[in-house]
Amino acid sequence: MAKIKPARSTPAQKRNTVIRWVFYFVVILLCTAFLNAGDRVKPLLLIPVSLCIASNVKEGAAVFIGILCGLLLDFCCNRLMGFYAIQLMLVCLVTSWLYTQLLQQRLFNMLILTAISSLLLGAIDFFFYYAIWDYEHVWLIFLHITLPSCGYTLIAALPLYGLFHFVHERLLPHSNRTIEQAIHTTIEPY
Amino acid sequence: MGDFFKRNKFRFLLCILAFLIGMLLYAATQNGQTTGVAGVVLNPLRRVTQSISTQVDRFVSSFTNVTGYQKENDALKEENAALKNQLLDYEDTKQQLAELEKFMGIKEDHPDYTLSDPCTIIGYVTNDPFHSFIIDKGSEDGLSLQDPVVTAEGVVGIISEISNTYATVETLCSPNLSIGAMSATGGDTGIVEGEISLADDYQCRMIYLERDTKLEKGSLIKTSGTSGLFPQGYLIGTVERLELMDSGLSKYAVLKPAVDFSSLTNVMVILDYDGKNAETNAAAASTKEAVNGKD
Repeated sequence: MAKIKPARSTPAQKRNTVIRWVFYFVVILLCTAFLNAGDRVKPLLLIPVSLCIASNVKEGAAVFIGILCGLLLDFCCNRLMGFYAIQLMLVCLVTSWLYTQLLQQRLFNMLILTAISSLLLGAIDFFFYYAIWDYEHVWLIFLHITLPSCGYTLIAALPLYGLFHFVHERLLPHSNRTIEQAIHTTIEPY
Repeated sequence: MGDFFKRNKFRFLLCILAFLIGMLLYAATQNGQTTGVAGVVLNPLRRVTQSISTQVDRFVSSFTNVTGYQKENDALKEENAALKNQLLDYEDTKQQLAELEKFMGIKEDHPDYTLSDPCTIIGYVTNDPFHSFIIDKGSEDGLSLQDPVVTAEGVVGIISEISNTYATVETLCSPNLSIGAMSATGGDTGIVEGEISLADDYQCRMIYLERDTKLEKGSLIKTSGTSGLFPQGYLIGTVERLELMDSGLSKYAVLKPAVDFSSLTNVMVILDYDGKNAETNAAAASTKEAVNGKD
C-alpha cells in the first residue's frame, strides 16, 4: 500500500519543535542536577520526565529519551552504565505505544504509569543491588529508601505533568481534536 | 504497533538494545574502573549543584538561627543577620583553613604516609543508603582502587570506583567494607563493618567481640592494620553501646565514627604507607612458597 506523505510542516511548527526539544533537554539537565545534590532520599525525577515526553512523541524519539534519561540515572545513582537505560528505554517505548493506541492525555493516566514505572525500576534496583547480596535487615532499604523515593517521584510527577502539559498545549501541533473541541471549532472559509 | 515490529526502526532498536546490554556487561567486568566519559561531561554540573545545595542548606540554617535571634534583638535584626552571614563566611574559611592545617598534621604525625592533595566532595550517589560520595580526584592524581580515605578526625572509607578524574568513596556505613580494628588500649580486637539498620544514623559496628569484652561507652576504636587496607592506629570512632549478636556467642559494639559524615566537605586519600597490602603480599608470598615447595 502506498504511503501517504505527511503534510510539510510550516516554519512556525519547525520553530516550535526546536523550542520543545530545547525545553526537554533543559528540564532533563535540571533534573540531573537536582539528583546530584545532597545526601537525602530524592525522587527520581527523570522517570516522570521521560514518561511525559514519551507520551507525546513517536516510538523512535521515546526510545532516545528513555536511553538518555536512563544513562543519566545510571550516572547519578552510580549504577552499571546501561542498567537504568535498558529499563527506561523499554518503559518509554511502551508508554509511547500506549498513548498512541489506548490512552488519552490525562493526569490520572500519567500518575498510574509513573507509579508503576518507578515501583518497577525501584524493585529491580533493590533486587539486584541489595536483596541478592543477602545483607542483614535488607528490607529496611526497601522501606526507607526505595518506597519513599517512589512516593516522592509520584508526587513530583504532578507539577512535572502540569509543566509538560502547559508546554505541549502551546508547542505541539494539534493533529487531532476531541469531539468537544471539534464542536466548538469555527471553520474558516477559504 | 504491529507495523512497528516489521519496520527497520524496530531492527535499529534491537541493535541499540544489544549495544546497551554489551555496555552493561562490559561495565560489569571492569571491577570498579570506569572510563569516566559521563563524569567528564557531568562533573562540572555535579560540582555546581552540590555547591548550590550546600548554599541552600547554609541559607536555611542561617535563617533558622536568625529567627531565634530576632526574638531577642528585634531592633538589631538586619545588622545581626548581615553580621551573622559575614561570620558564617569567616567561620567557613576558618574551618577550611583548620581542616587543611589538620591535614598537614596528619603528614607530620605519620611521616610514612603519602597523602593526596585535599579532595573536594563534588556530589553524593543518589539514594545510596550508605552515603557514598564522589570526590574530584581520580587515577590521574595518583589515586587507586581500595585506597583508604581519611580526614584529620578519622577513617572515612575506601575508594570503590575510580576513573581518571573522579572517584567514588564507600563509607564506613557500608556493609561491603570490613576493617580490622582494635580498642585504643589494645585489649579488644574485632572487625568494623557497616550495618543497614545503623547506616541511617551514620553509625557502624564492631563485631566478633568476646562476651566479656572490656569495651564500654566512649571507648576509642582504631584500625589494627591487619587487613592491609588501612594503616595501623588510625582512629575509627567511639563506642556508643554494646549488644549481643543474634547467635548469642559474641558481642558487637555500635560505633559512632570520629568523622561527621553529614558535614564532610574535604577528605584526603592515603596513597601509600608502611605495611600497605601487607596481608595480600604475605598471602601471595605464602602461595609462591607453597608452589615452590610442590616443585
